[in-house]
Amino acid sequence: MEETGISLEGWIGKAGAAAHDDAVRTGISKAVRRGGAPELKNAEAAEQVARNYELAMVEFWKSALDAGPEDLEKNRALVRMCRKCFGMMEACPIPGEPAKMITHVLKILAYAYLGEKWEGARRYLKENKRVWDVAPAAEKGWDRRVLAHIYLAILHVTRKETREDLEQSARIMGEMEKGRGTYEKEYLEKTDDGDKLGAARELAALYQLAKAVGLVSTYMRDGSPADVEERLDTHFQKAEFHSSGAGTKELDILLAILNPAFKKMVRNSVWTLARLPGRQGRFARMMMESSRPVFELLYPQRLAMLEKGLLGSAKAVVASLPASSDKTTMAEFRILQALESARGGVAAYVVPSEALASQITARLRRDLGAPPLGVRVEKAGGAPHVDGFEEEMVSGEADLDVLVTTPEKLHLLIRSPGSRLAESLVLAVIDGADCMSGGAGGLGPEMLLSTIKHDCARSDILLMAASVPNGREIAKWLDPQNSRSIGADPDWRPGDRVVGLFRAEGRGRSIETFFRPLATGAWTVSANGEFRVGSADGFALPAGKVKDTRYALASLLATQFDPSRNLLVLGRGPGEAWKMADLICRSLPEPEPDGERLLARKFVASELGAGFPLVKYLDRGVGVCHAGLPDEVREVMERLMEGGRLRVLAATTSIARGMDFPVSGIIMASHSYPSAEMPARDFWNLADRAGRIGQPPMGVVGLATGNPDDGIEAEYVKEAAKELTSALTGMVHRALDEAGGGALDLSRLAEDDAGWSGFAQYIAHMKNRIPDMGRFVEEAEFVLGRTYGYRKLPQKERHALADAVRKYAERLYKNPLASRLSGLTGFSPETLGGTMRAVRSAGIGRGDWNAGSLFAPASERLSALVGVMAESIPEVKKSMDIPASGRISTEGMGGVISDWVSGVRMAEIAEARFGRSGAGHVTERVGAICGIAAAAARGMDAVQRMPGSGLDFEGMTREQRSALNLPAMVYHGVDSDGAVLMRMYGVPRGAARRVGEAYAREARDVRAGASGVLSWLEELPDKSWGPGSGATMSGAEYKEVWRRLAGAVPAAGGRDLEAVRLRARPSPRSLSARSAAAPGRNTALRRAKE
Amino acid sequence: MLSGRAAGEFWEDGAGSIIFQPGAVEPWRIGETLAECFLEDRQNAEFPYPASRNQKTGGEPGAGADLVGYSAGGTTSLFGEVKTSSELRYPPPAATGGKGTRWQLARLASSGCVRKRLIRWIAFNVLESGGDGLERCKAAFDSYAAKKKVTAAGVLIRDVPPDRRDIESVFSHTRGHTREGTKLDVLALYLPIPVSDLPRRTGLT
Repeated sequence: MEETGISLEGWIGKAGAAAHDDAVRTGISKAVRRGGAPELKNAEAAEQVARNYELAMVEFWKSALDAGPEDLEKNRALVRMCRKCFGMMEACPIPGEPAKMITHVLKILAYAYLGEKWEGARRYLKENKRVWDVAPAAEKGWDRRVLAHIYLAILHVTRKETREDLEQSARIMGEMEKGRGTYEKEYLEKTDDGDKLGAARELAALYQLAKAVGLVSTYMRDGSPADVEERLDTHFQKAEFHSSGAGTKELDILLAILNPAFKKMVRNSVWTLARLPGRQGRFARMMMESSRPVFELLYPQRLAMLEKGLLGSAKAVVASLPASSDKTTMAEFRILQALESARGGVAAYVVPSEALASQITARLRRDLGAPPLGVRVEKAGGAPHVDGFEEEMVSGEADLDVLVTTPEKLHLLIRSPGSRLAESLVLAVIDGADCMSGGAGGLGPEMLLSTIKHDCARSDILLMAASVPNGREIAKWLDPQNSRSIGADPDWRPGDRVVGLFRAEGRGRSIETFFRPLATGAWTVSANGEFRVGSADGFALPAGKVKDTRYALASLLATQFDPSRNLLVLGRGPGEAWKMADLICRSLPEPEPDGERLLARKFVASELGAGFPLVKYLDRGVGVCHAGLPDEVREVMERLMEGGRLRVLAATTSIARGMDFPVSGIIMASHSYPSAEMPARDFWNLADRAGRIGQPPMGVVGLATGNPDDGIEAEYVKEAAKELTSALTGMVHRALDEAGGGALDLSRLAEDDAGWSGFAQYIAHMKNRIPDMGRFVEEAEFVLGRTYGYRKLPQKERHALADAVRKYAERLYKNPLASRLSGLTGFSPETLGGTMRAVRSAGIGRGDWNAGSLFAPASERLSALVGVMAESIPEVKKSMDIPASGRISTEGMGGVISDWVSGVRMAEIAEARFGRSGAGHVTERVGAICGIAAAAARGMDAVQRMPGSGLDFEGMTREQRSALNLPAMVYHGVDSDGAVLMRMYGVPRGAARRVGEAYAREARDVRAGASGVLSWLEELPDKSWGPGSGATMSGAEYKEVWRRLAGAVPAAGGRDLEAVRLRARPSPRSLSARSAAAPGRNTALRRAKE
Repeated sequence: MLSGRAAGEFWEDGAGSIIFQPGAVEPWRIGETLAECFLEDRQNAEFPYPASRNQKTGGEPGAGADLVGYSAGGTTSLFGEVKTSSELRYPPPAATGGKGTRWQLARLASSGCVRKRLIRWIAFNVLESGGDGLERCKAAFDSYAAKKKVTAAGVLIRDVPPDRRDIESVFSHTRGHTREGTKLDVLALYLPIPVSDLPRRTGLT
């Protein structure tokens, strides 16, 4: 309040602070304790404070009116004040007497709207069923009946769960109009003469209010009349005139706040977007017509799209939008805008992880894929190489509108030989731009943006992040002349959130747990003192162990929260995640059976063996997620969590970065990654998962601490998110520190560090575009200046970096082949030089690049190839290393790869190739198999491109290269092109071979093209999906798993699946046209096999 | 706003016929205005918002007061009830009957709920007027919040010879319900003309 000079204390008084604290404490108690809704200690004080907040709001309102709409601070102060009003009134008990209840509830709804929290109004209506218990017919007196009708109509138009709510609102007004003829005259005749005029004026006021409600219902349903706000003003002016004449004070107050509240509702309406031209307008209409319609935009969405120019003409936009703003919807509109204005262009949607890429792809296909939008969405997976299908996607010949991928992959795709992406890219949406500051995201996003700026002249950029205090600066960097920075009120949150520390005390088996909220200064509620969470007498571990061991405490806490809350518990690594899952399961009762969970259980058992621990954890409603699990299993876990089918998901801090689903609570046994402390920005990104829309009103985020008094965690959570800084800047500082005054050696740095490796690739890419060393030296500073980080470096460090870059470039120019390959593979030129020698020595020939022989059991060529990769490519060697559980030979690795590609199940590979089984070993082996496959795929891709491999890779046509899709087979664990294609579209590995064969048999052009493949998969009979030999899942079950992974079945709250049930199949004519245009992959494949 | 009835409006008949009917202003309305004028002239009260007649005397919505403004100096809220009577008795039944002046004034003098609602009403009128009078409103609120200072005024308008019994009964009854901090004023104004003649004599026929 200080910023406006208005003192809230003057209105609230000391009683206010106590009442506010009471309300917050009640909310926190409700959030952390199981069962029951605690009451306010002093409801009367709370009501008084709520009234006082209303009075204070008058002052803020005046201040905002005086200042005008441009004064953001004063307007924000008013909005925050209304939000406080809403929060306080929401905490107050609902009056029993109907007339008082009506006034109370209408005020809550109005303040919610004025506080930009309409979603809170909806939640309030959903949680408090009692407020719907109003029957106009039971009211005595026509005046009360009218008010009851109006009240119910407002409730329906606020809830708007379906179109039926809006219809019902209109029907209620119709009923009221019918009743007027019957009851009004009688009511007025019975009224005393002295009161008759007042009664008539009051009715007149209510009738005008009813008209306003009817108008809003109609507008939200139909988008008309266009002059709705002017009409609302007219009705309210008349209502206020009559009400003041009647002396009905409370009605005066209601009218004063309902008018602006209704206007907010109208301004939030999706109809404004429905008036946009082309597919944007159609998309908006589809949003309102779907089975889970969206009629209103959230505050950040309205602000960004309708008021601040996210859909304007700026070439670069940096949008700082709070969590749970549904940024994806905003991106969808921007994508449609870009595709409309640049026919034939491609938009890229960039996310930090492959898991998110899958999630976003499913969402975009569902929302935008169906007619009449017909947007063609593809995903380029996280594999660090470009396979044949991906090469085709970016060749300019594929049917592609939107490409969803990670920063590193997009960078690779832009640089890939034959890629036309640089010319066709018209928009790059970078979601989660927070990763630009490094951390686990490395240097990828920053270098990608630099590359897009330089190489993709047509491309606009939309950068979205939760908090970008320096958004304007970054926007200027992206485009000095035509850029925009958009920021929503950082205090906006759909729900409250409390952050604090958990601890335990007790002896023996008797344990009590407590929660202490912390004042973080970052959009969280807080209260003094501690809150008791619960007590336990039969937990698997004694009190001493629980008190001293964070993961044990986190596990106990997870069993104590209310079962209605879904929780994410985070450990430092996979080991802790497993331990927590095990402890939690021992204390949880078996939940009600759930079809989705059963299906997931079967899938996990099928892939990883019936004895895999996750199978029995799922029976208890507990999931596990970490990097050592196969991608599809992780995705299934996330879909279950998103759909509310899991009570607890035990995961690691690292993997949680890539998750984006709402939870009601997060319990952290660690705030570190395995190798470093989690930066504050990452912590707050994670914390933002709690308390989102659709979740209970207060999200809980807590650190399970062994010693709450040491203050370390308390200081940690107080660290606010800093500016979006450059990862490169930090890397240069650290490298120069380590060099102790010496020069930087880019080659050596790139070998040891993924971030420097990414930077080296960027330099190699730049070098490849400048054929002359002399010119490169001249332009080195210019090249570097395109990066955000270089500009932020002090002069001395800039020179050091520029010097290192020049020296590195000299080596590249001396070895042009290695530098070219470096840009494509991500391996350093020095590494590649050694690899080329090893490849020549190995005597690998053209005939070895044959899937049938290469992946045959005990294939010597495969072993030789693995040997070359493991010995000569340090990055591959590191990934193939299996710590702790013993090393296996290159023959053994070859066997793993051969089994993997041939479709052998993971559990069987683990047992056959790694020896001893048992739950703990199986989980380690599974992680090792995934690591070996990914590393081998990357290494194989590099080796194929080298001289001495027997292939003239660069001299081949794209189709010929595509026929050698062997790295993709290794990556996806299948042995045919058709199966690779199926894996790209989310078909589980266990079914991909059969389904791929079916696809190839139907003489389909085995190439990427969502409109054909997805609809074909949807219509493929169950029996074609399986089961295969030894499989435990039926064909129908595999298909159902696929539908969930592909997003055909929304996990929760998603819009329905018209987009995936595409009716448009490629016509025979279009198939033959494509076949005529290119010889066809099948032809090339047959030739390769011959 | 009152001029002309828009076709198709709710109130072409029924309530509308009452609102829009031509006719004399009732004497009680003139009595309320007289009470306001008297308090403004003789006690420096202020009534910045239109005087209005309660449509209802109890329950929600609508309960309020006849007089809503500020007492002398503008730092204390003033809420009052006015009764205009041509009865002959002292005090008149309108003052002492079921929900008469005594009862209404006692409510104003004691009900925190009613007083807070009236203060909020003033605040929202301040808002409607674009913020004019906010400081005064805030001062009055502060005075109420800190010390519960409010003036409750009961005014009788009569056309009979003056008699202390008119105010003694109301005052003594109300005093027993008055909260600390509340200043209680009970006045009786005696007109030289019949109450029924007020419309004609004021030209409001």
